[in-house]
Amino acid sequence: MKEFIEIRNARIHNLKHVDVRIPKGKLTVITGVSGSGKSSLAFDTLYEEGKRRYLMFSGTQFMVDEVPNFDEISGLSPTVAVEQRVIRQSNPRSTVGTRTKINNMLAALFATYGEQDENVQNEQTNEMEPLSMEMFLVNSPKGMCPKCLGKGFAYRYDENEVIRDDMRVKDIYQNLFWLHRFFRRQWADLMGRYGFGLEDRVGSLSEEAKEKVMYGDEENGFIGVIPFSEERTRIEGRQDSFECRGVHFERVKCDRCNGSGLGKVAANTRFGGKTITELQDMYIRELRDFLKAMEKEKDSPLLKEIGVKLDCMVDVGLHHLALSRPVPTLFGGEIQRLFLASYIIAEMDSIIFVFDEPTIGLHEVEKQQLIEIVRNLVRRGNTVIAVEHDMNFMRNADYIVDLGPDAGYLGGRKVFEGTYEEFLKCQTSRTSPYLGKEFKEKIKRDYKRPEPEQRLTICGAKLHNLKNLKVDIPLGVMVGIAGVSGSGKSSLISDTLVPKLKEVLRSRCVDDGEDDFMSQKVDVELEGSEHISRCLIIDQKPIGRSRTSCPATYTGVFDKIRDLYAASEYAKERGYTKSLFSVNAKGGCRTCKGDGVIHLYVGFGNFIDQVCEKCKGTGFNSQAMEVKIDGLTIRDVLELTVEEAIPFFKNIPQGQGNVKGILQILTTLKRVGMGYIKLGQKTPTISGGESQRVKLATELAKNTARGICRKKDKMPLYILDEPTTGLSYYDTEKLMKLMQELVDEGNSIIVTEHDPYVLSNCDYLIEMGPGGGSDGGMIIAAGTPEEIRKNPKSVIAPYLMKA
Amino acid sequence: MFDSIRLTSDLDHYLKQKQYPLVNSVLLMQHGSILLERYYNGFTPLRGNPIKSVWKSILSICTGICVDKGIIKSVEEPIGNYLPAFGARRHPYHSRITIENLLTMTSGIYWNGGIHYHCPMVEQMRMEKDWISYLADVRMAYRPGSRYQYKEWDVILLSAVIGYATNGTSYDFCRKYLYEPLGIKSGKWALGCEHTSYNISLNAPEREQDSNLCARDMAKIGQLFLNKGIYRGKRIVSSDYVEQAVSPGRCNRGYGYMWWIFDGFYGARGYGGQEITVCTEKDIVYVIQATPTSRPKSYPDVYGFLTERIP
Repeated sequence: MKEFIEIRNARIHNLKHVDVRIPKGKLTVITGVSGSGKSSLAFDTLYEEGKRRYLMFSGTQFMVDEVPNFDEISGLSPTVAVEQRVIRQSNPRSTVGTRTKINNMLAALFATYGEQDENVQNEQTNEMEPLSMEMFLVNSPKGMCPKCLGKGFAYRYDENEVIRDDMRVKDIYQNLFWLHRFFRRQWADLMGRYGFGLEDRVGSLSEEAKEKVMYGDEENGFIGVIPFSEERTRIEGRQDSFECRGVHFERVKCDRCNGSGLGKVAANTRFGGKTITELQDMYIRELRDFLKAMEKEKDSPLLKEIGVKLDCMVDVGLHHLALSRPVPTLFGGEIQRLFLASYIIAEMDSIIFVFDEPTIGLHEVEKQQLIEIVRNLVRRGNTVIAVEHDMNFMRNADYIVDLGPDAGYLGGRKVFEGTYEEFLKCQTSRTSPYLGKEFKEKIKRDYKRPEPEQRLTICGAKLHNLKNLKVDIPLGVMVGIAGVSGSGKSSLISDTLVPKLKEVLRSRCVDDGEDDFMSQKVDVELEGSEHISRCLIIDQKPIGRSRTSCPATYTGVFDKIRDLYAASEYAKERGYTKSLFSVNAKGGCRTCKGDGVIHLYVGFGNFIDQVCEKCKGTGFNSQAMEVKIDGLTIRDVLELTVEEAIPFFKNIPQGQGNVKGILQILTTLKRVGMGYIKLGQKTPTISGGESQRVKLATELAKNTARGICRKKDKMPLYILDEPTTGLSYYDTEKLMKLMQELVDEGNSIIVTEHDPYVLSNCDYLIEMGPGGGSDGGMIIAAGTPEEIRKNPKSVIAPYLMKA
Repeated sequence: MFDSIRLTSDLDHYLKQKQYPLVNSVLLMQHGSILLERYYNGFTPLRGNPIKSVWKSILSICTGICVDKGIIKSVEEPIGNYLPAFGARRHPYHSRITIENLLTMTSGIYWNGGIHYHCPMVEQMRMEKDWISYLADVRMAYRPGSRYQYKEWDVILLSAVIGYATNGTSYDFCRKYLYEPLGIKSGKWALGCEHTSYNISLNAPEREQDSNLCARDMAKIGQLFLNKGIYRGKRIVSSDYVEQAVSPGRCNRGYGYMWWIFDGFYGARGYGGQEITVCTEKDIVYVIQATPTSRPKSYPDVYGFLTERIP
């Protein structure tokens, strides 16, 4: 077996003739500033080729001739990639238990040893039905509660409130049916046919008309008020309640299965006195201890097997989760560790693992645990390659590859390869300087003091694991929310404060991506919202929902660029309009519908993307591709990175179109560290952290365009969720500068974060904990970073940096 | 003169050639007399076969008789009038489920397919005491009457409606008002829960066998429909109901009131190749029966093969 994985002349994306030799059976970190080409090397070259060879070898894929983006790779063995963004797009109903298959094992355990409650059995069939495994699985039709279909809850509304006789027709769902374009035509048709008007009372309608309004009309397809409400009850949400145009929907435990999601017999079968649902709701550590105790009574290989799996999960630091926890509510780091746990359980060796920033979302304490786990994988004979920015992680690596030096076309070269010690001496890397001492000089010394009256007070926060908290959040300063994974940071900010602010501030609270019919309600008291003029929620949800959305469309810069193309002489002569320059409108290639690629199914659940012959992969039709500005087509512009686009647009005379507006957005994107991103980069390939920074830039650019106009005593509030996710130290520093500027200008910032550098530079910290899950949900320390560092109760204190 | 012997040997040859070893009986009647009657695998005119979903069509006839007798006011009545669990307004749609919705498989109750009788949700229901209460808890997937979906729920509920309406079971009623007047011999249908007969039984196949019918008894049911509800001069069910039962439904043009409608004929169909086929135009009643196995199998071509060979 070869001792190295050798890659020669890798050249995908921005990589420029990269040759590397990665030692096998070691831990290698690939680092570099964001956009330097780390992922292109680790995932798009190494992992893709590993996968391709494996699929070819196992015969599950037929080969399509592709031009390789490297000259040679040797020394590959089976390769497994643990990417964050891919994992994120998982089934919304999958849970920790289904993901790890522990639920199936528990189901088998219950089918074998479960004690049935005789009272719920059918007397007619008389005999005790044997239990089967499916009966204990909520996703099996044999097991799922027929009422909630395994969800354990349902949304309820009061049908008598939705439509009452004393109500005016137009008031049903606050005008929704009349105003919403979707229903308007059908609704008008009903009013015409049955002769009633918007001002009529529901009670005055004829029986037939009322029937159609309430239950729908087959003829014109109007859904009906009751069926419309019914559809709302089926949303896959997790909020306690929501409001849909004046109608209140409340999440209630399913009264049939009492929240278990199971049929009656299964829900009443016990093992060691507990139902399967009770076991799945336990924190993993408690569950492990409970089953360990049961091993004394029952000598079952199944029980031992479950024990081994649970041990692994505790080892990777997931003890604070319950098996019933939905995977989409986990943090990126938790998801990665969940996957890690399943590989450890499999006890394989000689595998190449490729990780995408495994330390993301981890507290310093947890990072240490993770490093230990990864070292264990290596010790067992595996090769681990991680794209990573974390200092500690690098310190523990056997080998470092640094790409760059900068992002986009200024990057893509190998800057360094060698050991960590050698790396420290590297002069050309953007990362190595931060590993030394100079970094500490950038830590804040003077904390901005908040005005005592200006603060938000949350009272009675008890969502999830929060222990009925009263929290004071100072305004006008940068507030950091710290705490280990699962300590309640998100429960407090994203799930309590944010929905409450939306409720109070309504349209003054900006958050994209919510269903336009609904709003969420949370039971908590909030004081001090009068100090806030606007609230901007900058989260990690993807930007835009359509498959063609990209940073250019999200920030609005694309609109302006299309205007520019439509205004060109060539376009004007031919009468081409703005809509020709969008793949979603007139400009899209008909063959691939603007995707540029054709998705081919090759069997066995595999797809291969083939470049569309018609448009040569551009996604645009030939007319759109004819038009050029300074030699670049609209497609060429979308292929530019922000960094590259700035000089391009600077060259265009100011008078044309809104070049100034374009540059404003682009420079703001660069300022938040997104210089490396392509204008047309498709949403699915943009990480959560990147999405967040694009959103931040969009908001900032709007502010600049609007100019600062501030009412007295009122300030805008920015809420950010781990904004440094995936950023190198170099980029983190840039982002921090920007956030500091915002605060200096009189804005308020609340930021949930793990990064000690960010936390050390806040003006005020609120630390949650002490542990995760049931061990968390409290505020263990609050004050300036300096005060926290001296607080013995704090967990983060030892990691905070000294100015 | 029609050559019945020739037709029989043609059929034998055809079934052999097509490799239909599971077919047990074939019976063809025209103008009220038997043209062909053939048994295989040791079956005789007296030995019954499982009726499977032909039971649904039989229950439909019983519903018609209930309406004729005024036991049920009309098929447009809500089932909540008879089934307390559905009258309790557990769901806003429940008050709108009519008997006709059951007959046309449009109740809108959530159904998760599965292979015929091995429907996992039916298995879960079987484990519970009160099936009707179970069904009243099942998620409502569609507005009643808006979508056709073939499912066991609707026929189980229909059996319960007849049972509750007659203060007995649908079996008691069927025996008295359909089977006895037609001279049909059948054992008791299995009891699912109170007032609710259900002939399909997974765990006790021996109990399901009680509902078996022989080919001639199946043919009597076809003859009854061919004659618009009259059997041997006696009115069993109103001609209005028979006509309605074999008229195309709103949501599925190929399905009436638990009777299937085809091009030129209609009939009852059961899992594994059980068929009663009625062709009014040619005055034909045809029956085929076969042993059901786990693989769904049917023999629709046999009817065509035979009718091509008769005048």
